[in-house]
Amino acid sequence: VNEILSVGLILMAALLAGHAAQLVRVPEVTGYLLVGLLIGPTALDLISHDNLEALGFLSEVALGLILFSIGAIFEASRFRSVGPGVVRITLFEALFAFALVTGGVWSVGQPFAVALLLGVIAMETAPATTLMVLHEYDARGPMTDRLLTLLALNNVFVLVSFGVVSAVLTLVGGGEAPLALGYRAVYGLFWTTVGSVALGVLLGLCMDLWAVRARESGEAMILAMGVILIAVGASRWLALSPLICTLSLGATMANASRHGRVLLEAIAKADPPLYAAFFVLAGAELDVGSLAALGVAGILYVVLRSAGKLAGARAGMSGQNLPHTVRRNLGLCLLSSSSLAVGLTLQIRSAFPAAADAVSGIVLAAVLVFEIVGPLLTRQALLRAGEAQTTPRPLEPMAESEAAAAS
Amino acid sequence: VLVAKRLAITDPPGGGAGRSRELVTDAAKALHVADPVGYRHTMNPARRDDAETPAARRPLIHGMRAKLHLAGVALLVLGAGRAVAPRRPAPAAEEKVAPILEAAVERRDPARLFRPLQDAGRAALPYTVSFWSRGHSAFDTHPDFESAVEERMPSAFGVLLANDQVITHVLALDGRMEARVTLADGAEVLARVRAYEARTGLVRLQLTTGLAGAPTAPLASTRPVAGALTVAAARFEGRDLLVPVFVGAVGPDSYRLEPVGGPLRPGTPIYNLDGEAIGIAAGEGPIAYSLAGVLDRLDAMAREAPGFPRSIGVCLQTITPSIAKRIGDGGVLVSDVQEDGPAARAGVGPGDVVIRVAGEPTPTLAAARQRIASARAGQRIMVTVRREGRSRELEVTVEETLARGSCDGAKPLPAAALRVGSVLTAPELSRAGLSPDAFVLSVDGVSIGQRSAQAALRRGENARLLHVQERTRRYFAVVGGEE
Repeated sequence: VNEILSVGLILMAALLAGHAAQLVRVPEVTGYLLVGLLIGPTALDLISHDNLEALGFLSEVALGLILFSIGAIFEASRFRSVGPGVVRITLFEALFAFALVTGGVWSVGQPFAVALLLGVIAMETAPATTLMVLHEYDARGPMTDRLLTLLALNNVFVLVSFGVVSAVLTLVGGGEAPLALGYRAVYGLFWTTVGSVALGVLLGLCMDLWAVRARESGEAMILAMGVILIAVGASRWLALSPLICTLSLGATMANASRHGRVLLEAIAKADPPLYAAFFVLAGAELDVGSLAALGVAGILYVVLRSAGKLAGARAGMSGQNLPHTVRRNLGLCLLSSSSLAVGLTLQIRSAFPAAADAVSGIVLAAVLVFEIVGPLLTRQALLRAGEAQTTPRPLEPMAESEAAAAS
Repeated sequence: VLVAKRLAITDPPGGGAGRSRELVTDAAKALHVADPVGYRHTMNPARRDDAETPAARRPLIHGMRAKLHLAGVALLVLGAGRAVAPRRPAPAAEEKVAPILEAAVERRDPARLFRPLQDAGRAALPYTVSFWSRGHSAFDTHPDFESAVEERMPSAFGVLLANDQVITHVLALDGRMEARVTLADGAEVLARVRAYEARTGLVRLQLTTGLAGAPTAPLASTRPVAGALTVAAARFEGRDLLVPVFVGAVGPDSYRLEPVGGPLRPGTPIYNLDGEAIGIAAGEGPIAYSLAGVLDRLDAMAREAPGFPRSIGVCLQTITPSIAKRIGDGGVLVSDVQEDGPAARAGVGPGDVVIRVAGEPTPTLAAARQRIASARAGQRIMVTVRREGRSRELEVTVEETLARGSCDGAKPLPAAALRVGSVLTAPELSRAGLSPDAFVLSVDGVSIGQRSAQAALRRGENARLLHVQERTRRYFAVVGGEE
């Protein structure tokens, strides 16, 4: 199957899966992921490893768009209202997960480097999956507001922590003069964080400069897509983090431009097929075979990550004046884990090959679990918190009425 | 709902959109219709501002000045970051090892990644010429291949370069000074040896008929690194032969090769993945010689028109004490003769002991070789050999030839040759200095069939002189008889 045909198949599969998911009342993301698993190399192999390879850029672009959108949440006035509390929740949930997973995995005899890396990856909450569920149910309310900000903070925090942990592991690993090694480690951390933010800010300001002229939505769409692609591509070229870069691009747009909303609206019209493809591809990349390799450490990882996230969120919220619904349900929304985790394992493969096999074996299996369970729990949490605005019902009445109108 | 939806979609300018969306949402909620506006598939936070945020809110950072400052800081950070970037440590040698293979393993689809190799090899096929040769590779001398060996076949190769030159390895020529070269398109052209470097064994031949417009191989300007993937390309028995070859080690003049799937035939050209010729396989051992340095030296030799090594077409062997017990010493043993070579024409045969060349005694290999090498081409010299206890003088014409390959070409084995490994035990083999894969040609000077050879070897009490062929080499060895 060539790449173009595979994209077509992916979109059609997403269409069917989305419909089926509504019928059985699960989030559409779950439908996309499962249909991806079905047509991917694990099962039907309609989408081969080659196709996944070739379409990898689609996922990267989609992730760039998602993080751009999340970045836009960091609008100063909005952040001021929920920000400080959410920072605390984020720190607690992430650090609890980190501590429990690192300690647990280490205690069952895994090398310390493996435990540390798994701990960092455990901190991550999937932005794309969670956001997709929020939007599917048109969630609004205090929990949703906090969750959105939390997602953004969580991802920044994970990327920075990953930088710190890699710096530490590089230093401990040795192999060079300590001074040069230390410099390389610290520089790596500085460059991926500060450098990525700087690139995002710079591109955001350039985008703003032109946004004045982009009045038509078509023009705005071209501008937004162009700058986001440049942000992703340039950060790869400069060895920066595309995620932090697009995040800071979004934040810059929100805080430095009057035209941010026009651009966001513009790309909103272009992105549904991209997101559908993104999740189907993510599903196709899930490897059911990896479950067999889960082992004791893997099961511990799954259990302790869940426990850490739930307990951490709870602990972070204690003492804050939050509605009961938020307190009880926010933790459940944090369990999804996806592309960022997989992306980090790829980085680990090149940076710490010795630990890579153990880490990626566990993470890939755990992602399979969390990708399926996470959206379901998020949906449940939204319903329980009463923040799902749209009743999750099949689209049938609408389709019928439209058909009637057409005739 | 439909009316409101149309309104929402047409998105009238001037803020009507927000209101109409609200209408749609309300109506949809009442009717349990999910996502009437079609936002469900986007992740866009912008719409959250629809109702509550006034369109023209003053952003946190505003004014050209502030923005310019911010942009300046960002540029500075990026520039400074690039400037102080630590130099990456030079990639270790092992990082370069077989990058394609590594990628293939990681991406789980080797076929796609070996395509560059296939393309390069296929593109290089027209540059590869072939020689009708006895063939020298191990498999050719196996009895099963006997018939194939008897008719010469295009089993050795060379590469066609500019100016009608062909470079090959001496083993491809069976000792000939002239050979018919089969071009990739099937045409046959006579070629003469113009230069030969004994150390590497590379030979430069000149085609006697000029070729206008035949494709000639480009030469690589850089040497491959150890671990590089290259391709051996040739046409063999009407089939395209593309063999992935890893360069195992790089010497000043030579490469150690690790071909995937067995030995390469003599003179097989090796191409890099850009389709440029980098070396010529020796066909004995996993060695190829680099074209880069050798070509200049061959050119210089061809200009000086030097003589070639002198030969009388014999392969000689030192007489060890155990052989001496059977046939006496005081000379060197002829282990093989070049078919139709000067010595063979004069009546010298395997098993003869050369005791004098041109009147000078030849007690050692070095002495015998030196005597032959110092003769002029075309000179007739007297060679004294001892056969079955009697010495005889034979007149032999010295020829210019390519010293190697003059008699160690593969020769057909007798129809049912006996493999010594099937009869003798390992200690017996090692005492006699025999490889188990040697095939018996004769026992005590008598060519015998498999059955009688087997019987002869089993009678181990007496020492027996075996003439054997191991791969391309024929030699004598003594078995049994130890007390």
